[in-house]
Amino acid sequence: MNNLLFFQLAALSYLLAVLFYLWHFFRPSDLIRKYALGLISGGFLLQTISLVWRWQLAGFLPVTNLFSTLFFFSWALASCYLYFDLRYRIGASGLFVMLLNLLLIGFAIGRDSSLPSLIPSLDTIYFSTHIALSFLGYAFFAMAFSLGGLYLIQARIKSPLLPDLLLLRKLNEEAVFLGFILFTLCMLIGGIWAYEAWGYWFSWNIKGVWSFLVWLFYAGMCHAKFVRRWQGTGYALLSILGFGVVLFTYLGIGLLLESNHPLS
Amino acid sequence: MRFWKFCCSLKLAIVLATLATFLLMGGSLLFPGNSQLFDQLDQMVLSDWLVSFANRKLVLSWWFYPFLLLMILLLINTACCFIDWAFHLRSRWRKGGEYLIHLGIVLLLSGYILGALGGWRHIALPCTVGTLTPLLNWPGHYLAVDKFKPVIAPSGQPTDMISEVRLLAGEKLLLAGKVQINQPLLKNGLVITPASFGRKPEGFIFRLKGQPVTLKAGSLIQRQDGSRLKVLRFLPDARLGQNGQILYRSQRLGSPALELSFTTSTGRHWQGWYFLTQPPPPILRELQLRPLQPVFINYSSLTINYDPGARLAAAGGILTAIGCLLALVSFYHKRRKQDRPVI
Ligand code: HEM
Repeated sequence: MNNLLFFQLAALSYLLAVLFYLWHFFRPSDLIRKYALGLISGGFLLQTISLVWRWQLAGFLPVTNLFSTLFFFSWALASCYLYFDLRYRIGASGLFVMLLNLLLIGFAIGRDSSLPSLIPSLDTIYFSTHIALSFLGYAFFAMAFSLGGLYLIQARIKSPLLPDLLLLRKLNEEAVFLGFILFTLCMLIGGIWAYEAWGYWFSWNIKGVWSFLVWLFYAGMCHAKFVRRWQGTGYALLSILGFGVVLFTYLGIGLLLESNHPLS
Repeated sequence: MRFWKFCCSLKLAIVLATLATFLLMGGSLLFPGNSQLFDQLDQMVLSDWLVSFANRKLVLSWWFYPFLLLMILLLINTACCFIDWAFHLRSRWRKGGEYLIHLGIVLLLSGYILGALGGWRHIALPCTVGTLTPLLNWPGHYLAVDKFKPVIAPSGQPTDMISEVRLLAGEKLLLAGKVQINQPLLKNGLVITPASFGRKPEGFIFRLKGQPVTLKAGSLIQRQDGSRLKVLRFLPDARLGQNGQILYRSQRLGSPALELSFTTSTGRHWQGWYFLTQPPPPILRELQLRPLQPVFINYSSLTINYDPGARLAAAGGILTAIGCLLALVSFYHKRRKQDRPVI
């Protein structure tokens, strides 16, 4: 059996969830919403099985090429969404988050999904932890992006199907804060790894610089919520802008520019 | 009092961080097109780069100076913010996690500045096995690689580089041990890591009157008939200049040459160059020298850096990590209490 079968089934499950959410939008029904959540949970379980399987096959957390990182990013985003939905029942917001997740999966499909052997300098626990934390952080930033987008939509349409503005604002702040904490830990572990591998803990290669920029941006956001003028709409716009910085750091640098960072 | 409040101001922090972010974003986009300038940033500590590179290309590097200034101001701002909290510890101890993060960041940035000002780097310094390599940035100190073993996978890919290393201050041993990928040698801010490895030609095997001999710098052959051949130098790639001087071209095998000193059995003395791509000088003909193949020696390229701020930065990192975990707890606590700081 192909180790990606469960991943493909998970993608199908997420796609169905999106269709159910769409249905729920036009014909609101609590049952449909529950089915959609069930489909996301099922998809998440299938994707977890696929991840564990690939991990076992490779002998290390498979996050060394674009396919694997997109896979992991999508898994982290699904887990992040489940955390918010199970905790705060944000219902139809899932449409937006899962659409983003499908985009990640769509970008991964067709790319090289083989499990290459690990190059020696990546063969350390710091590597797996650094990458896992960075994509978990990115997932929360993606969540903040979705919540920011929803905030702006809700401010216009005032739909009873979406959480109210106050809750959306608080969830957005929480996503940014959790993402920032995870990303800070990712940077610290990256620093230890760099010190062991290169003999210095901060590198001025373009990927390192933009990771620092992501960190600085979200550190700023952790404070902006205390400034009245930036609460609400301003914060939503910043979350959208911040995710742009994340995407440029993650994809833009690798695709457009050259860098000597081990993973770009 | 007003000045202190300004130094502790959260709005000031946001303004400083925003400006620094914009400057670094714009500046970093110059990196890919100007690699001669910006690739050097990791090759040396920041103060050296500012003095030897940035200063000479201000058109490209001017933004670095205001960026550094903003980071230093942010550092002072954060430190003031932490001190202010520490003075009100009794009423604000619950925010311990957040403020540990702030203190951690202050220490991390201070550690970086200390390292950038007082540290030095030798990146990928080629160290020939069995010889002493002087450290130019630390006069009087040497690195000795006593043994080197590359580990090569069946696919031909190197999987490890194991060097047995000694660090010497003159004759005094400062540090000794094994250096491998992801297993550096560390002591008091010094770090030695493997960078790469290679081999370089150090001489040639010849047939001398039918017998194989190895000639490299320092080799001495004393023959029964009383003649004596000594190798003074070996150059893997050399050329004779127009006015007779020897031009050294590269470390790679090109046109190899030996500088020899030869005393014949009758006591005649000769010293000169023998280019292996040409027949030997007439006086050497009696030796019937035939070059066979080059002899190589392994070298291990090691990185040796000194960072006097490394410990401070490590302490900052640990405090930040602990602060993150505590801040998680207090975030949800604050959520329940709905409180916001007064701006
Ligand atoms: C790069 C430097 C900084 C970093 C990484 C940082 C990080 C953080 C984090 C993670 C929080 C917690 C946010 C939350 O509860 O959601 C926080 C809160 C805070 N920070 Fe900073 N900070 C920095 C600089 C500063 C500076 C310079 C100031 C001072 C003016 C400051 C003042 C505050 C205040 C007042 C809070 C709110 C604490 C509370 O909940 O009452 N921060 N900071």
